[in-house]
Amino acid sequence: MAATADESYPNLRQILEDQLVTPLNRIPGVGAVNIQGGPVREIQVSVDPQRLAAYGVTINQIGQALSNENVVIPAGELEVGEQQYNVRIDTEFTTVGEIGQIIVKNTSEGGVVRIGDVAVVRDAIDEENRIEVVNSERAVTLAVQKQNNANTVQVAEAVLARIPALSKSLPPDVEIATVVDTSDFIINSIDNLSEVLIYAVIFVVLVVFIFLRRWRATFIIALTIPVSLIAAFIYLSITGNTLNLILLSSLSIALGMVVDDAIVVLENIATYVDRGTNPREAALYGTNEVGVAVIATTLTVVAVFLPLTFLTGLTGIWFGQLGSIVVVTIVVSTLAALTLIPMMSSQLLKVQRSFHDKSKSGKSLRHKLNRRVEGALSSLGNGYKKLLGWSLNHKLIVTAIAFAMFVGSLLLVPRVGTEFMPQSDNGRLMVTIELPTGRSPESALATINKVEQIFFEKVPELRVISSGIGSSTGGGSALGSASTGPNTLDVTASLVPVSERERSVFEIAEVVRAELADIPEAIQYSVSTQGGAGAGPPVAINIVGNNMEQTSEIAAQLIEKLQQIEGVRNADESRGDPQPALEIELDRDRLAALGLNSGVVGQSIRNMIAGLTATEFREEGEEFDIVVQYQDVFRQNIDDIRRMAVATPNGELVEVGSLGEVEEIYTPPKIERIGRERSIQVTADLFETPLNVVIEEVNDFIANELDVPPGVEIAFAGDIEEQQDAFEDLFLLLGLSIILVYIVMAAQFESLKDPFIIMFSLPFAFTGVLLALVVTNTKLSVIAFIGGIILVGIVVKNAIVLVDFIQLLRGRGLSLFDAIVESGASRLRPVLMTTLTTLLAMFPLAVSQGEGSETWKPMAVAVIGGLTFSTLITLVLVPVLYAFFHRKRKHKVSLLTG
Amino acid sequence: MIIFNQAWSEEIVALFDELGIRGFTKLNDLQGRGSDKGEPRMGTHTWPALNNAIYTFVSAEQAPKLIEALNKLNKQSEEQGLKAFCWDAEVVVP
Repeated sequence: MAATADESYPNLRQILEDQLVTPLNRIPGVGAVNIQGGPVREIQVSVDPQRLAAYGVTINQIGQALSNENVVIPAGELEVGEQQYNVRIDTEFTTVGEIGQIIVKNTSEGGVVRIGDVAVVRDAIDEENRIEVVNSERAVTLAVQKQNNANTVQVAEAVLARIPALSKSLPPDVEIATVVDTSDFIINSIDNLSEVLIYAVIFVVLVVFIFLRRWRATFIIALTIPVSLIAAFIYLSITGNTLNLILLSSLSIALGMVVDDAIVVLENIATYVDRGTNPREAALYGTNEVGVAVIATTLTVVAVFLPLTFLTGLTGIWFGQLGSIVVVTIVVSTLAALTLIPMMSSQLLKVQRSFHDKSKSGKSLRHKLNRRVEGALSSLGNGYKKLLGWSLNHKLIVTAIAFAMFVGSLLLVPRVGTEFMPQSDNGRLMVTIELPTGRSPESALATINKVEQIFFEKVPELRVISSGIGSSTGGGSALGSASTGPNTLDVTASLVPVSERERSVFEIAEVVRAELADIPEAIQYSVSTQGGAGAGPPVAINIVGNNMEQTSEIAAQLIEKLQQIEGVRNADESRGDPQPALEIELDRDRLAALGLNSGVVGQSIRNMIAGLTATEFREEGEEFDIVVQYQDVFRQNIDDIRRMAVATPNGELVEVGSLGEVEEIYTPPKIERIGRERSIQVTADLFETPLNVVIEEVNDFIANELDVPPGVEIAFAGDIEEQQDAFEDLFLLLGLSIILVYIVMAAQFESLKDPFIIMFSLPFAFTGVLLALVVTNTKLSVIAFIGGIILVGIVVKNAIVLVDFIQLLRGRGLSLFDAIVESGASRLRPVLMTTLTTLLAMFPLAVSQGEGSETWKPMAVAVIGGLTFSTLITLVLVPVLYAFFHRKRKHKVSLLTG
Repeated sequence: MIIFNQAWSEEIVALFDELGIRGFTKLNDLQGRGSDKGEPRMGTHTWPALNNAIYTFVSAEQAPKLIEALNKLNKQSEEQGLKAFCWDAEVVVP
């Protein structure tokens, strides 16, 4: 949040602290309110060193005098008769003028030295150490941080609701604007995902209706959706989780699967009803017949999602919840399919016959649709039958083609880039500009103007721009960007919502980068678009070693290398450029001779330059610091420091220049340590370049060109490290899922061969994933990887249905060929139906353009690609392989054991 | 003896009530297959359905009514595989 004002600016900070910060702090959930920029009132006692010397007074004495004369001391109680008196001594300053009258010293001649004699007392404002500019106006920024366990959205709402009431009491020229509202992104993302979820429900219901073309049946199946959703919400409230993005995405993933079981059960019941059984008994026996099969397919899905809950690290936080929610919803949907669906069918399916009667006479839209769809589906079925017949006669060719496709898709692997988490467009740009060192914050105002000009001209999508320069005063910088040096300028630009602009934040960042190159005083600049789930910049390399020169050298070389790689932006090192400093090297021998030590001298010099906060001036309940320091004309250059006088214990004054040397040096602004060793971190952002490409190039560079001295270690950190950890975990998880699914199927089929045949649908799921990623130019992130793992559970379902039915028909005495073709024909519809519901439930997630959609898009893309491709292949290849594996053995048919 | 898909249990008993037949003996969950067509009823994964059977002994006047009613029911849906056999019986323990 930022407040701007014209006339009230000098007092703005004070006004805000009283009128805004305190009330805001009282809102539940608000952790801290940081105020940045703007003037702070303080009482300055500016000392004239020449007068000090003349009167033989030191700064410390002035400070002492001030704190001794500005006291309230309760001295106890006194009883006079029945009256009780509190005795107190109150010498607090009531006016600023009083301060000048304080006596510092009695001279030996009998005179007195007052503060007014050696210093000028001014009611002034603090020399600003941080300047904030918002939309070209000097501003004071307020940052409201929530408590750790508080809900961001609730806190933000409460704070924003309080602002209008509070701003009424502010002077009329004060304007308050929101610069960054992190809850915006959350709310918009949730809205967007809720929309996605609604579309998913609509699509699923539509698919079910088109296939069944019965309102009542569709209604019964659709009923499992709210039941499962309610179960998911109950689970959430029990585990104490909040409604978050992971939950909503998980639900849209689960949505396509929850209806599957219901479809199977309902279909069987409907068959009974068609034969004239009364619905009640049809429901009873129809459900019993398929119950075991339904539970078995659910188990394969659970086998994939349950291990997700055991993931650790960042991926664990994300996908643990995904896993548990999908497991809960799927299990509940199965329970609903076995209980609720039969019950509803027994009550609602009666009208079936009357529907048939109507279909003969009616010519409504529904019947047209009925005929069309029926026609399309039967011609599809016939075509598939023919294809299947042909394939069974050309097993080798089909297998060879499939194998070639799989191998061919592996060639795509190098073209798929990787990243840790997809970057999301949260409509915020952070610009950091490094200016020449050793300049005052004031001088950067011109640069701020230039940067703002760039934004005003080139970025029409701009909503508000806020800049700050200088080190922040306590509590971290206001708007998340932590600038440390007085020469670092940071700018936060908030853009209008995604729906209202055509360019993404990444494209805008590119434009701004190009423009910033024209600002001559900017030594280094970076434009970052923080968003997504990854912590910090995607590329982070730690260089660990105690020799600072060596590590700096390597860091510089790495940065140079990184800058050469295409698509790398903002390559920088954590240590930063050296800052100029004046170092006073004291001569201990000389100090000792004068009865001084380094501590005393250092403290004195600090008091002269930085100032000594002696006491506080109280006015109208507010306290202001009284700061004693040298007048600024006496602290301008190195010589001034040399001339500063330090008092010895016997009252003599010695100049600093005679105690040691004052030198100009450069110091690194900060030194970081990893495992007790000094380290530098080299970081960079990426623009449309996959992480793995950068890792490879950097590794190559380190191995071949870089000369790494002994004692220096180079290690990847940040996203790279997280990605490597996560991918290792995920590969393990993938293997585990495949084994678990195989075990579940082996138990279900009581065979090792049949599950093996079914497993052949898996490679093509990955072929599909690769194709989808390459075609949509999506990078393989952890999210997309999870999509691949989910596929293991989803794609085998189709093959299970198919193989199971082939077994069934063979058990009923059909020949191998007939059994395969027949089961293909009869299972085509259920397979298409369940596949389409899953696909279409994911579809809105894949095409959504809204805020926060980038995060889950890769998963949806991966699942859609993998499922589509795998289903198409499964429908042909799995029957062929079945025929191939079962060609010799005569299936023993025993009716009694089945 | 009447043999039928267990899903028809309710209809058959309702039929008895309609005709005023009180006594019967019902056997549940029976496996079997038809003489010439129809699906076997095995209660397995391959042939999931099961049959029930009912023995009932009725007077000579009631018998034709019952047989007529059963034939009518069978016409409604032959796939349910209703079968009925009739033979003379003698009551030895009343």
